[in-house]
Amino acid sequence: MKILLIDDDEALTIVFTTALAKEGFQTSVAHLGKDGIDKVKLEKPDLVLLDQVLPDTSGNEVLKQLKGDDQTKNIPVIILSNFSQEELVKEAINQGAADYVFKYQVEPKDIVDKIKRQLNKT
Amino acid sequence: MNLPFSSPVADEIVTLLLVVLLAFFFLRERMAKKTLAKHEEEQRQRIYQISILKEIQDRISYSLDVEEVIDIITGSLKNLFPYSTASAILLEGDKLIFKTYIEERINNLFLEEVKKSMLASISALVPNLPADLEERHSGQLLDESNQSPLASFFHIPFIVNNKVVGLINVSSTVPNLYKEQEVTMLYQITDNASNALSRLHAVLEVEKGKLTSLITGLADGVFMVDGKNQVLIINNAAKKFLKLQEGFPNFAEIVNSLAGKYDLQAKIKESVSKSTTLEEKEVIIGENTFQIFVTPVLNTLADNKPQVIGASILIHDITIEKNISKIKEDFTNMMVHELRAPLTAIKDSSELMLEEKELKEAEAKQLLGIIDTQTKMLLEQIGSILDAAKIEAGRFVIQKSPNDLNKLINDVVDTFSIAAMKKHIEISSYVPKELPLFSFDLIRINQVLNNLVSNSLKFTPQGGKITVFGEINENSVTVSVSDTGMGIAREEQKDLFSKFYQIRKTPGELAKKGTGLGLYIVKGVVESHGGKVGVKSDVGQGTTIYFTLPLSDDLIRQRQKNTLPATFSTVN
Repeated sequence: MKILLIDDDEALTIVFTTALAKEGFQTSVAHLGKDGIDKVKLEKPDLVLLDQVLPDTSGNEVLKQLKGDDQTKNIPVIILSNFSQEELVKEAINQGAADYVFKYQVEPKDIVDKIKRQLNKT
Repeated sequence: MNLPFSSPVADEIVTLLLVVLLAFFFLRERMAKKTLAKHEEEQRQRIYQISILKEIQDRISYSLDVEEVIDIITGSLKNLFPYSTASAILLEGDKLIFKTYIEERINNLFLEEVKKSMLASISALVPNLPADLEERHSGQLLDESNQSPLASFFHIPFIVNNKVVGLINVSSTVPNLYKEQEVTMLYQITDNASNALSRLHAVLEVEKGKLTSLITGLADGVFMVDGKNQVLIINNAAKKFLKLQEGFPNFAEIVNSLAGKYDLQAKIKESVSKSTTLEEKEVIIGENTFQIFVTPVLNTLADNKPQVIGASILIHDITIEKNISKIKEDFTNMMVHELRAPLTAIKDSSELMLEEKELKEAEAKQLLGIIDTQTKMLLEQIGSILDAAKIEAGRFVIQKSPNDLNKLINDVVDTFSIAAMKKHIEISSYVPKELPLFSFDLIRINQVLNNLVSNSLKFTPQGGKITVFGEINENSVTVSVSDTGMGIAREEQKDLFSKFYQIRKTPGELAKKGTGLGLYIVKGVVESHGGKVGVKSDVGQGTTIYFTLPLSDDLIRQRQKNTLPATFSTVN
């Protein structure tokens, strides 16, 4: 199973990649929104983990583009948020995000559980 | 016996003389009595007149309303002399009002005659009379069976501040009824009333002048309307806020300027009926946000019953406060993000290390490395927040000692050389050779230089250049950090060193790295040394940020003795 992690926080991407590798997931990382969209199209991951604050654009903008493209609209996206901004999360859910996670509230294994649950659905 | 003058003829003469004398005295006394009675009557009339005048004066002395004053006068006339109708024509705004109190049931023709003669009279006094005429009758009903024509009448003009504002008329069906006495009486009453009104208007003008100069200068928008929604006063701030045209606006223009945002008419009505101030928290007009307060204006002069005479409206611009609270909110969000990000990485790394049994050594080491760097980053950020708080509170302390600025600049450039090389950026420094040791806080100036160089590194693309210059002036040293990066727009430069400023890579987007406090702390540190900070930049033209550090008086004197020109040595 292939996961694409779009997040510019280098430390966190290493931790997540390590945690996901232990569960048998193959994770690739993009630090910018634009690179993220390119990688989704190129690598066709089974699931996308998407940070809401990116250096070049917002996570919700990336989500909008993914959901607006026939090639990518069916790939489940889990939103990662470091803010407790419910409105941004609500907006993402309305735009078609499959689930969301407040990064500071969960442990790596919870994220793994969420990913598994999501992949079992599809 | 015959007296010398005694004769029947003489007797008759004497008797006649006596009769004449008696008649004379009798008549004289009667005349005197009549005169006395007349005087008494006049006196009585005079006293009555004075009491009526006093009453009228009491009633009108607090009224500024011409119509009300004229009503009081015409209403009091029946106590003074008889009449069939008491009428008034008033000039009000752009119309005439014809009011008649009908005491005797006269016919319509009589009334028309009165109106005609009054209009003829007032048009002689006031040029360009308004054409619009409103009629109001009160008292008895008209009676067409009464054929008595208008037989006697007189007019008195009503003048306030040397301006004719109306005409009072008394008319009767009785011929030759009004003599000089009646005319004089009404003239006196009218004259007293006009004087009182003129005085009140003069006082009012003075007070209005004071009030006008007071509210004209207010930063808040203020205007006032009377009970008939006529705009009495409006200041420039209000006109600006409501985007009204030059000149004095009417009520409709003001209502229109707020249409869809604030129902002014309804709010005034509500405020007046409830006798309370209404507050609207946020009204957005154009790009600004305002608070609007509507307060009824009460008149408590005449008696103790407060009477609503209009409303005052205050418009307070809260755009800046709104922006500040938005900036504070952004700042808090950013702080939360900046502190949470490293903590989350530390938490997740340690959890993974605790729970994952099959971690390879390299993986464990990597996770420990994350914990290490993120902890340091967190400490650094907390340090920045504390520094900024100290600077803001004016409790920032530096510890100066003689140090070598040349060495410090070269060390900082060395520290960043590897990071610069990775990004293919050329970094170099130019410092004057003969720069002496001078007093500054080594740790803090190191922090300043680190901050400026790391900023340049962040915003300079591959292949760019960063240069640190040192320069010695007459009584200070200037250090500048120049890059060939993206540059900073002119309008953003004034906020560059403020507390909440963050260079935004993309507009509307929170730039992710850093607390945004860096340059605020740079400024605080430099100013604590007695120096200055500045920026020279333009979009696409790169950025130079410089700061100065003052030299001590001893050093300045020493340098003046040996006036060697500054030479430069190149490092790296």
